[in-house]
Amino acid sequence: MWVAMTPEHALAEIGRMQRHVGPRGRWPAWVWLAGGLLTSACGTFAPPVTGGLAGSVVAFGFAAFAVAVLAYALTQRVVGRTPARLETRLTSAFVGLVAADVVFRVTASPTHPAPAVMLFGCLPALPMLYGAWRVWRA
Amino acid sequence: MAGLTAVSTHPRHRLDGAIHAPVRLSIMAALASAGRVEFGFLRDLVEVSDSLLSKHLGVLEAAGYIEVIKGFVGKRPRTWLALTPAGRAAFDAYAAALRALVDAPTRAPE
Repeated sequence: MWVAMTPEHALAEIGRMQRHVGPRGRWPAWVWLAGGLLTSACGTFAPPVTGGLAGSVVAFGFAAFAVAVLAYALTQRVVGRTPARLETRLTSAFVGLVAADVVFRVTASPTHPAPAVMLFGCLPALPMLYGAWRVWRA
Repeated sequence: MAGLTAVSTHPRHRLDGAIHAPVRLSIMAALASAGRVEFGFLRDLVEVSDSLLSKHLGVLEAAGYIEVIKGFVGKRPRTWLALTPAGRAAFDAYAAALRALVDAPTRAPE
């Protein structure tokens, strides 16, 4: 059924949709903030800096967080404009920096959180923190 | 011809017929506020049936205004919808025409 709308009603409908949909697409900012903070912590203390039970806790904790984030993301039904624009580039940067960190740990085998270890460990967090900032700024 | 030119400058001539139907306006407004929106969410938001939403989405897709993205969550299919750059430009122009109509001074009949 076609119902005529006045321009005022049409603008009101546009405003209603913006208010309803806009805020629902900002959830990736929280995910990226939490991911950035956890990545910094785990990246610094990941094996071989910590071994044994502590190393397992760090590795398992990060894996559990990743699974929880994926499950949460799959339940979301709106992705905002800024997250949709950034997600591919941020994911690529994150994967690349994690790979660089893994190569560093395998080749250098650090046993304590030296500055270089902290640098390589924290770098993968930067794309996520940048993404969170961009979403909140938009 | 002078009369036709005067008529064609009225903001209503800038109202895009593909967006003008109320359901399609709601769809476009919802998609313009996000990067992508899931089909079921949009159906509930616009308060229409699956079939009616699909019909209107078909019109917008044929106009090149929306993109339909099919995917799966486990074994369940999930459909996402997003505006194309052409769709976003058309919606911005449509909203500008609406604002021009609202802001235009009322003309007294001659």
